[in-house]
Amino acid sequence: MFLLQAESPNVTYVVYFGTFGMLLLAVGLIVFVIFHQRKVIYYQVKMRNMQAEHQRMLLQASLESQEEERQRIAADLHDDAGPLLATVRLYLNENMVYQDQATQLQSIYNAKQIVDETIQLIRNISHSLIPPTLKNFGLESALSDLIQKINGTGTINASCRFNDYQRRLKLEPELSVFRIIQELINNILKHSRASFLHLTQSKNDQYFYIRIHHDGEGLTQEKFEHLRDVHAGLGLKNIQGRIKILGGNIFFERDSTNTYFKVTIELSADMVQ
Amino acid sequence: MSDLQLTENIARLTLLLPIILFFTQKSRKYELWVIHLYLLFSLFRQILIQVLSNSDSNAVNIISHLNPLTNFIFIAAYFFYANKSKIDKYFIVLISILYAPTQLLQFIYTLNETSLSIISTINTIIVLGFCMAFYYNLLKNPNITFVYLKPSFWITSALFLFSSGTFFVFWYNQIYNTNENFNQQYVHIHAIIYIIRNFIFSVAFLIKPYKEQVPEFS
Repeated sequence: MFLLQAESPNVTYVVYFGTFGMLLLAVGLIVFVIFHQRKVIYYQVKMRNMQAEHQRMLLQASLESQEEERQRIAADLHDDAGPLLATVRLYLNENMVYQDQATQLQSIYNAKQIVDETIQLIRNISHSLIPPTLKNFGLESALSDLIQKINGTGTINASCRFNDYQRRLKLEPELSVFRIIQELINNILKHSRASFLHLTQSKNDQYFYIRIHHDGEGLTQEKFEHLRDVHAGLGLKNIQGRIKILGGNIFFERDSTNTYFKVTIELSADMVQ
Repeated sequence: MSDLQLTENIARLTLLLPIILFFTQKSRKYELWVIHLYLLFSLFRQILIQVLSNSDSNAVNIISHLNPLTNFIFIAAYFFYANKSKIDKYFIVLISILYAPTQLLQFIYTLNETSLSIISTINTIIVLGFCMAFYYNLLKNPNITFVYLKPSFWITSALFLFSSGTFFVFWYNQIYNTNENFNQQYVHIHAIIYIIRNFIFSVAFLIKPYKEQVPEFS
């Protein structure tokens, strides 16, 4: 109201300066909107690129892991099954040349022995792809089996306890969880110099948990994320890839007393059969 | 023709530019149609005022008094279509329903000049508020592409600049319309901002339709 009552010459100044000021504010606000939004989009694109790069690395790790597995199977077949079958062929050829019955029987017996050996070898290869204990009796038995074998080496004191595994996980998630734990235990054995390793399973209405405690040199979450994102961390990338497929989480923690490390795998309770 | 009339006529002529350029716009959304109709209406009103100014001053007076209300209706309709958020749409409708009748009252009862000034100022403040809400929504929703690739951003900016620039001249216009100096000042400021507004409207109609995607940064 004061401005409305101003004198005429003053009004001219008020109108000019007022208009100029308002225009300046309006232009300032428009420029701010443009630049702020540009900045937001820039960060969004950066974030999206980082996610894409991460996805690409996970995919690459998964492919590399598949390729490694194939090479291992190919090597096993070529180096072990190949010579055995070639030897069987030699024995059978020998049978065609020598007509002496005793020699023939000896040759057939030898061939049978080698065929049995080959069958066992192929079974071992097959078991390394899907452990039969896991397939037939579930994760609890397969992990107990694994822990027993580790204990058998005498280098580490390993134990395992399943608190609530009345209902098994579905087969595919079960195999993935088994592979993740295999990789984690393998890392602990290789790098941590731990003297004990303890695996526990628990469950509530929402989540299914598996935890591994050990007293060696472990990983924290930051270190895990760093190693996972560098090109060398193939195993960790595989773990992350499998966890992502399962829709779960993995947490690497150090105990507050600095006495042990803890790895927790968290899965949705829907994975249970 | 005096300088004042020349300035006014140039400003009026620039109104034709966005009206023509509207037809080059491929993506004619509702909000663009509203602005196009608004510009056509403004053109028609100005022609009518020119035709009637010498013969029927009463009719010219009625048209001039109805001007803030019609402007407000078009601008509110524009923001109604330009805003995607339902809450904002309800808010715009609510304000329009509450505010439009007060403008009609001033037209019916012909309030004093100070009251008219206040009503015009409130009109401008509400439009500025709509513009701010529109900008806020743009910043709140980071999924859209660059704002300057949206015709509605330019239209809102044109309305924002026009409302900001004419805020003071509209405020004083009702009181000092008898003052020759002020009238000249009013015509000059209004014409310049009117030309700027029409050019920005033209830019809005020239912008090619955009895709809802985040562009690549090099």
